[in-house]
Amino acid sequence: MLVEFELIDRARSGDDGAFSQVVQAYRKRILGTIARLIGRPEDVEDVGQEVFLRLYYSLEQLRTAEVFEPWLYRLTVNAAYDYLRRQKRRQESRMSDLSEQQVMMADAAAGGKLNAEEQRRGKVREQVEALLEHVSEEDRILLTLKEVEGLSLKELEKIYRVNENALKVRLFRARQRVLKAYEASEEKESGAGQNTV
Amino acid sequence: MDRMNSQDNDSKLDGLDKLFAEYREAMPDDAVPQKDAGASFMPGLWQKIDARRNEKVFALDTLFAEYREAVPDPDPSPSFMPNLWKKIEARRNESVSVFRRWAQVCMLATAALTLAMVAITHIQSEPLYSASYVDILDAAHSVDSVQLMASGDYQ
Repeated sequence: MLVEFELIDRARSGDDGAFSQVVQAYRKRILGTIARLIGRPEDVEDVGQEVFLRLYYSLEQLRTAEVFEPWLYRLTVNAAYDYLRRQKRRQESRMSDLSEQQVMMADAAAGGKLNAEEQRRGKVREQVEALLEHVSEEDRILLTLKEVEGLSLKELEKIYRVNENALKVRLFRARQRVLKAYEASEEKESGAGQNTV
Repeated sequence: MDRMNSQDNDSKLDGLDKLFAEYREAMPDDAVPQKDAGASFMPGLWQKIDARRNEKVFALDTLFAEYREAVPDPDPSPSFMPNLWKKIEARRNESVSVFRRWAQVCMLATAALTLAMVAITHIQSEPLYSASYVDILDAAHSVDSVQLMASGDYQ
């Protein structure tokens, strides 16, 4: 826990100052999780504000302060899921489908401004995001929380309110799908490498 | 000169063919004892497949870890909190205005209902019949009784 239970209780009872302190304590972590869940840096703050907005109006439904973190993650998962669904529905043109950061990276790479480390990071981001497109939005979020955020099955159980075995099955299937896509991309890359030799 | 070169090439090719033929003889199909091949070939193959798969699994795990590093927790912008409070206020006002609209609708409906009730009561307060029950009965039977008396059935 990043804050005392007492602070959460105060926020629950309508203390706006306490609520602000809770937001300030958690916002960086939540924004990071959202960034990795949605993969579009320019929309991270918007989705983050949506999470805390939902928190503000649902805090009084929280039974005890002990379950605050899973509750907050649950709101984060829901907001990220809503965002990804909206994005999928939109699916505009190719160029506008790229995030601002991707466009900037493409421009900078073309101009030779990016250093090797930034290029490597950009490639990793692209590769993981391409792999995660092979699973549904729900599975993408679940897999990211487990594999990237490093949440345990117990923590996921509290967030999703689903038993551990069901989560394991779902994770296994999603992981298999991503692994298959990864193998295919590796084969494609090595094939392309051989062709260029 | 050309003729000499082609002869040289032919002899080289012949030599290569001969070498392949010797290699085939030296490596017959049963060069590996059948007993060993049958026992260890498939497990060995599966081991290699598993090892290759584990390599991919490991590489995928590494990729996820790299992704975690490649997308660090961003610093919130200075406008994060002000914008959040603006959104909270906007939502609050929105819900107040929805409540207000509902209240207006309820008030209008109540007023309409009251008017309707008053109108119904007013209509109902006017008597449907201007005469009393006895008068109506009398009027209805007076003609019959005159006819009966005239026909002489009544005695």
